Amino acid sequence: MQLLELQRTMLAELRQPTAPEDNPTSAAYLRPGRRLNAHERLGIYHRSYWARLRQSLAEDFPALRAVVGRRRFAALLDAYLIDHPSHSWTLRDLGQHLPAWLEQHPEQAGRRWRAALDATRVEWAYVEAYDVAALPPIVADFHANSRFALQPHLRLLALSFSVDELLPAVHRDGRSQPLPRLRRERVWLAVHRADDLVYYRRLDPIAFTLLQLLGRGLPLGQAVPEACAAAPRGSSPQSTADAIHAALALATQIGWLCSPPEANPA
Amino acid sequence: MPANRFNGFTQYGVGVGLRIPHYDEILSRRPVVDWFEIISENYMVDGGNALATLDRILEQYRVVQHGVSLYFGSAQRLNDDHLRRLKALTRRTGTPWVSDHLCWGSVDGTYSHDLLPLPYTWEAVERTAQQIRHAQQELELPILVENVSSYAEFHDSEMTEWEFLNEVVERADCGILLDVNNIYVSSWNHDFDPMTYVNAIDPARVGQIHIAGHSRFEKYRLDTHDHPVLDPVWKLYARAIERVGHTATLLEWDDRIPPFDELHSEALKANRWLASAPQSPIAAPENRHAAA
Repeated sequence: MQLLELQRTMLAELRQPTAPEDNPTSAAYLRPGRRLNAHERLGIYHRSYWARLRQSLAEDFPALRAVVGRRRFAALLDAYLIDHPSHSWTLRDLGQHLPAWLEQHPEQAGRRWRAALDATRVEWAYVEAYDVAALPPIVADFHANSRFALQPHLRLLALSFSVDELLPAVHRDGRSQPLPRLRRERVWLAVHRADDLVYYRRLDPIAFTLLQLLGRGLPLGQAVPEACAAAPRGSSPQSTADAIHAALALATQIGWLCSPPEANPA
Repeated sequence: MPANRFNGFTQYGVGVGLRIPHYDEILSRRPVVDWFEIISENYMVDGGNALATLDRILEQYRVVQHGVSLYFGSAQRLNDDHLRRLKALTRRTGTPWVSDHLCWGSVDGTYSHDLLPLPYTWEAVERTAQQIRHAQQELELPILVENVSSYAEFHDSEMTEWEFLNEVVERADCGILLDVNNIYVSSWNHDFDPMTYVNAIDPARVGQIHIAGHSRFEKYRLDTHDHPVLDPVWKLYARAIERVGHTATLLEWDDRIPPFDELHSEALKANRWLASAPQSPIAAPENRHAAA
C-alpha cells in the first residue's frame, strides 16, 4: 500500500465512532502482535484520538456542558467531531465551528438550545480573546469623519441568557458551589483581554451598537445616529447623548479603539 | 557527543518541560534550571498570556523548542502556515535547534493530533527525509527528529525502526532526539530488545535525549508521561550516554504533574550518568543499514 493511501485509510478508521475491535474490516494493514491483534492495536490509537479531541473541547466549553448536562454534552461533542474533525495543527482551533454547528443542530442541545448556543458563543469568544493579537490603542480624536478599528481580541455578543454569570462559576476550581441559575434576559456582552487576562463586560445597547458599527468601519458621524436608534424606548435625547459619550469614553479608557486598517502599516 | 552541529554546538545539561502549573513558581522563585523545553505549538499565537509568560521566562532561562504536529512523515507536504509561525517563534526564543517526531498525523488537511507510526518502507524514508530537509531549510536551524512510542506495526514495513531512523536522518542530514522511554515502550509492545535499538543509533547524530515515565497495562505499555522514570528506561539512558557522551537531557512529564521541585529532582537523576559520560562518541553504530 502506498504511504498516502495507508494514511488516508488509517485516519478514516480512527475517525469512525465505532471502535476498531467492533469492525472486522479495519486494520487490515497492521500486523498482529504477540499480545494484541491488529484491531486491538489500532484500538489504542482510536481511543487516544477520541479522548484527546473530546478532552480539548470539554476544556474549552465547560459552560456548554453545564447547560446541557454531561450525557448530552458527550453525545453532542461526538456528533460535532464527526462533522468537524480538526483541520488545524493546533487543538486551539477545534471548537471554531461549534457555535455555527450548534445553531444548525438544535436537537443536540435539547430544550435548552438557546442558552446552550449563548454559552457556546461566549466560550468560543473566550478562546479567541485569549491569544489573538493586540493592536496599539489610540487616544481618539472624535469628529464626524473619524474611523476606527476595534481591538482584534474584542468580541461583541448579543445574548438571550445570562450566561456570563455562569462562566466564572464553571471555571472555578471545585464543584462544591451550586451553579447560578440562568435567567432569560437580553445581554450585550464584550469579551476582551486586558493585562493578558480575559474579561466579560456587560454593555448597554447603545454602546454595544456603536462599537459594532465602528468595528464595521463606519465613520463616527454615521455610527452615532444609528447607535442612538438602539436606545431603549422612552429614553430622553440627553440620556442617549450621555450614553454615546460614556461608550466612547469607556472604549478609549480600556483601549478598544485602534487605528483603522489603512492607517496600520502592517 | 557533548556539542555537535545538530544541537547548535551547545552544552545544555539537564532540562525540564515548561508547563503551566509551574509558571508562577518559576517566575517568582527563579529556581536554577539548566534549560526549559517548550511545546512550540502552545506559543505559536499572536498574543496573550502564553507569549507574555514565555518572554519573562526567556529573560532568565534558555529555552529549546519541541514540536508535536509538524508530522515529517506525512505523505503530503508540510503545512506552510505552521512552518511560518514556527520560524517566527524560533526567532523569539533563540532556540539552538528544533525537534519534532518521526511520525505522521494528518492527511488531506485533517489532523489526528497524535503521533501516528510510520510503515518502515523506503518510500517513507524518502518522503520523511525530504520533508525534514525542507523544514530545515525553511527554519534555518538544525532539526532533531524524535523516535515515537508505537503500538502498531505495518505489514508493509521493510526494515526495523532503528534502521528506518538511521536511514531518515542520514538522508535528511539531521540530528536525533533519542527518546529512551519511547524505545522501551515500543520494544515491550513489539517484542524487540531495546538495547539493540540504542546500540544501533548513530551516536554522532544524537543532539538531545528524552527520558520519561510510562504506564504498564496487562497487554501493552503506554507512553503517558505521568510517572517517574522507570529502572529499565534509566538502563537504556545509561547505555545511550555511554555511547553518545554528555548530551542535553530532558525529562518529559505532561500529566499528573508533580510540584516543580519533585519534577526537577527526578530530572537531575540524569546527572548520575552524565557526570561520568565520555567526552566523545565511542562506537560506530552496529547494523546501521537495512538491506535495500
